[in-house]
Amino acid sequence: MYETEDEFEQELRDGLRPRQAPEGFADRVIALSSVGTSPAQRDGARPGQLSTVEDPLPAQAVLIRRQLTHSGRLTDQPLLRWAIAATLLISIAFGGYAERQRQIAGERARQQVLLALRITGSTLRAVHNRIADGND
Amino acid sequence: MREFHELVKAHQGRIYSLALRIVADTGMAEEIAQDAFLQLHNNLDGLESEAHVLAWLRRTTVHRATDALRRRTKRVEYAAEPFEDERNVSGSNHPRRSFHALANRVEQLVATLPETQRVVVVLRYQEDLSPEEIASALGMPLATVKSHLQRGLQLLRTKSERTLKEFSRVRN
Repeated sequence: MYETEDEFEQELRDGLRPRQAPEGFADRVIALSSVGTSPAQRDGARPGQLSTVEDPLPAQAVLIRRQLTHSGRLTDQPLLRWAIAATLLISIAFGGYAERQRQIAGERARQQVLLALRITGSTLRAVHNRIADGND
Repeated sequence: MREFHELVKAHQGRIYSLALRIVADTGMAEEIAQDAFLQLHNNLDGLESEAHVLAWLRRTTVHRATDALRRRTKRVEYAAEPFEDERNVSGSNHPRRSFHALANRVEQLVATLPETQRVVVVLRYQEDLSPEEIASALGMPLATVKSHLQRGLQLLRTKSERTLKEFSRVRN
């Protein structure tokens, strides 16, 4: 199996090297720490008493934490699902409006090009007529 | 001593990993680590040095994680999400990918240990604490720590013979 126990333990140590914290973890902690806690919670919070503390954070911080953490589980919250649905509807509506605006702008540009061609055609005809008159 | 935000950045990986390897659930581990740092923020004035800070964080994290384990009724399958770095390594035969996949398997094996053995093993091999330091951190007699460590190692050795051999082969 293994030559020595030390080798086995070394393998274990290698396999248990610290992972990286999730993306944005430090920023979330720092943001939450700025919310602060009540004096009673500060007095009550010390290591070793953790099992008696249900949650050391004020309600506001708990709410923010729930919104910030478990990024993959955000859609579990009904309010957030509604918000996402509303955002999608607005995006679709805005997309349709933008598309219509593009069509109007395209049509306007086409009309301008046709007008320019008509003007050019009349100008050419006038020049042609003058040349023809001059020849006569 | 460093400022709070610097302490968070310096110890976040270690504390998150400690919580993760005890509760075996990424979301719960993140929440536990977050709470530990927030409690640290409230108690920072009472801590004299960075060594104290780290010891405090470890102890707080272990207590919170073991409490969370006891509260949890439904066990979430471990390592449902891939190892973060692993996702950035392309190709299934890439050596780093294999290394991380096997490291995941070591973690999974540790997660199968009974709770106290798991805590002791993680503190010993992730945090590199001596049995005396573990006893102090957990408020447990030294003989009990040594017993848990020995039994945990024996159990791991039995379960992991094949996994760790492969791990060693890939690493070398």
